[in-house]
Amino acid sequence: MKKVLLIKFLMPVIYALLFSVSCNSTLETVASNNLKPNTAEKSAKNPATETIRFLEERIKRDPEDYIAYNKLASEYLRQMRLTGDAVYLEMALRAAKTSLEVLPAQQNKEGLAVLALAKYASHEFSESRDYAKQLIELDPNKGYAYQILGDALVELGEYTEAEEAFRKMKTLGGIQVFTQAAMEQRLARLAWLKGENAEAKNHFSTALKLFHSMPEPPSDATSYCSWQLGKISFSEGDYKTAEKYYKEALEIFPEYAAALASMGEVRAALGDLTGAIEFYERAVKRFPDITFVAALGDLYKITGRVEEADRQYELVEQIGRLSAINGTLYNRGLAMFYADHDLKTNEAYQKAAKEYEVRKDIYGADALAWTALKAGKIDEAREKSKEATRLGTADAILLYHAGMIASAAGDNLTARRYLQKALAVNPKFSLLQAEICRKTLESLG
Amino acid sequence: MIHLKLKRIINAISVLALIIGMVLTPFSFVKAADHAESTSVAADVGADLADTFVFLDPNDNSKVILGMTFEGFIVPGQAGNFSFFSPDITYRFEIENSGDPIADRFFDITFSPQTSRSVAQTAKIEYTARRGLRPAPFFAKFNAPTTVPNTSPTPPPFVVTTDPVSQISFFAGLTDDPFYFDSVAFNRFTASVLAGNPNPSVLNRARDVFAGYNVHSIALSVPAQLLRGSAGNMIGVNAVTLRQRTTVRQNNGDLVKSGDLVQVDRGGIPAVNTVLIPYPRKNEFNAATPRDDANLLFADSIIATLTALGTSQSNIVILANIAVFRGDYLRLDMGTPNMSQGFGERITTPNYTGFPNGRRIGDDSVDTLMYFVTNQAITMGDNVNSNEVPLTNTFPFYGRPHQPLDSGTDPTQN
Repeated sequence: MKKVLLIKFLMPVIYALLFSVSCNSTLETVASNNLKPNTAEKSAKNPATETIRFLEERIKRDPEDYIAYNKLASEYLRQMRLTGDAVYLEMALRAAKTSLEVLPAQQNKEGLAVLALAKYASHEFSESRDYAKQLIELDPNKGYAYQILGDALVELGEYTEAEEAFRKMKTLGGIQVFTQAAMEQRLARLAWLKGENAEAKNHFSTALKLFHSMPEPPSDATSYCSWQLGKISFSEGDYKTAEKYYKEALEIFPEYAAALASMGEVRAALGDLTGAIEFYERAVKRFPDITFVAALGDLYKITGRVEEADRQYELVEQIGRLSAINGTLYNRGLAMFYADHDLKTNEAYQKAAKEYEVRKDIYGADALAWTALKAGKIDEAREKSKEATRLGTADAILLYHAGMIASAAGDNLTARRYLQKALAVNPKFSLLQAEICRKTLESLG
Repeated sequence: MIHLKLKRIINAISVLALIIGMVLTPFSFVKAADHAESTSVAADVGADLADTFVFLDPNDNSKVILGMTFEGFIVPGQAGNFSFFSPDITYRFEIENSGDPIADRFFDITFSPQTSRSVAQTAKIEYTARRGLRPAPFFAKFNAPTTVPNTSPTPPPFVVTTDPVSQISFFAGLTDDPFYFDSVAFNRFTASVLAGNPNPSVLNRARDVFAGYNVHSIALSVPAQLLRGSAGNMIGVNAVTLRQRTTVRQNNGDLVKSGDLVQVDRGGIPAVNTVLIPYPRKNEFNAATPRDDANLLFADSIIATLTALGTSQSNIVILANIAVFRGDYLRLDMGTPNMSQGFGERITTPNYTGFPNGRRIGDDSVDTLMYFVTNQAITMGDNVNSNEVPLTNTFPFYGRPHQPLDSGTDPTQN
């Protein structure tokens, strides 16, 4: 009874934080203004917008409609993926939490599942993992819970456990096309992490084919797979093929921010800096991800547009500050930006170390290694670099960092090996760092 | 502990599918954006049954209407994306007409792949008799188009096809979800019972959580004489969904299916699975048969649940007679005339002829179950007493699907 009463008491507040239109509280108005994404460009007849409106109106009429909250949270996550607008993420989290306030997880697994997904999207991977485990306790014979768990474990660097979770997902997940495609994507990802690029490409191609076999291929999924195939090609230094895949992704989904940024990256690798700037500008306009903004700043700097470069670098810091206020979404990105530009090296190290405490994936180890090097902590850098390269991932960035760290430690033989490999794998892996890699290698003789 | 929530509440798979559709895959190349996500679905949405219906056509009692709904909670604006019938699934009505728990006849319905949003799929309807794997002669076999949904302000007319030989009529399409239920209030009520302090006042919300959503529906109108067996006018109906046992993924990504059909879901009496079967046994129950029910495979669990709910021995016996001893079938006495679709009636209404005598689309089955489970203490059920839109007056009797409405118009009905 107490819980029911508490829910009844909380519901109007929670609802106000989410969607209020009809109430007059200041809190509600502020929250509403802050949370509403810019939807002006969306067509009134856009099915996704229609769906969101339908569900929001349901909640206005019945603030305890947990099914509508669950569906709404899912739609918000989808919109976040499509638009890159992080406001949707916050709205998804609130919708999922509200759903569970109305009806606890024991009777509301859908609410728990969407909360786990929203936590994942928020990069709160430990929480996502824990919710997924709770979900498995409630629903032990369904593949989806293991899917969520496996995804979270990968991000946390618990790769063996993740593989086990995906195995269970495969066993339990059913035979639908979507399930098969989901499995292929995860196999691709694991293969990539292990340096098995051909396998990774095969799996992504299969996933793409499976999606295309559907009556209505999902545009976000197909563009994602094309983009990932492009990323693998880029990581192998095959820039033309990468560009082809990126174009495919953008044909399906023209404002796909990640694919736009990748187009910028590949245009830069091909020497077309003007084109690269245009793509990065579009990507940043669509979604100001810290890595996009930093890359755009670098391009401006290289092309002599110093003031514009400085503005982008300042924007990077602003995003980082805002993110620190709102959570930890960009800790790693900001740390790497500082390290790459030899700025605030101790702060960069601390940010990377803080994230590493809760997220020990190979890129977390790499970030800590790279920032430790810049902060003068060579031993720690070496230790973490070993961790970062432990899976054999064929990523020139990891190899470059390992080489630079070895060089700083005076281990020239190892340094040469890593730096040579980095350039062999992907000669133009980074606008700024590839050149440093090359010069360092030359200096090592 | 009361788990008094209907199957569609627990298994709101369409919701879950949408949720899982959001599963993210941030393929973290070091410089990649952190919003690199992809979709995927791990739930078997198309095979998830919602409700089963069997009743005499109120316009012509010589015909029996069989209905099943599945893949619920479809938002009107998603009619284009979500509305097609899975070609991988066999939708089956199992008919028992000999008085035992073993199915005697089968309506199998399968669909051709969807080739375009604007083109109907073709349903293949086969009415056969068989025991186990032995094939038997067809009583009827014909093809029929589905009703293609749209997102315009007016829904398309229902397409009904009648087989000239058997006089069996068929419909498959998107419809309003005819189920009406305040699941929020219901869960609160059960929570209050569990807490040892039953509080019927929480049932006063009277909001239909299912209102405004669409669902996939199949309906058959069958001449009663085609269904009669040794049990005379008594028939039992159980809806099941099935998939082929084996699916092999070729190296080129093609899926090759083979093997016999495996049951994914079943639904006879509403809420037996969700109300009475404890969670750990639900998958086992879904894969089982009415014969297993009658062999008391789940009897201990059902009795334990009802006892925990405080249901009296006499009411446990009533419910067990309905759903356990002769298997979980919706049983219809075809000799009992039916003149209505069930709206506004309840089990205490004089001359009531609805659920648990079959189940009409308008029957308030939630209230009826609550009536028994609460030892007749709750007579008004969840206080949601009718569907948000009227049913159609003729076959297939489902309400028209909700269409996306312009901004400013309330489309929700909840």
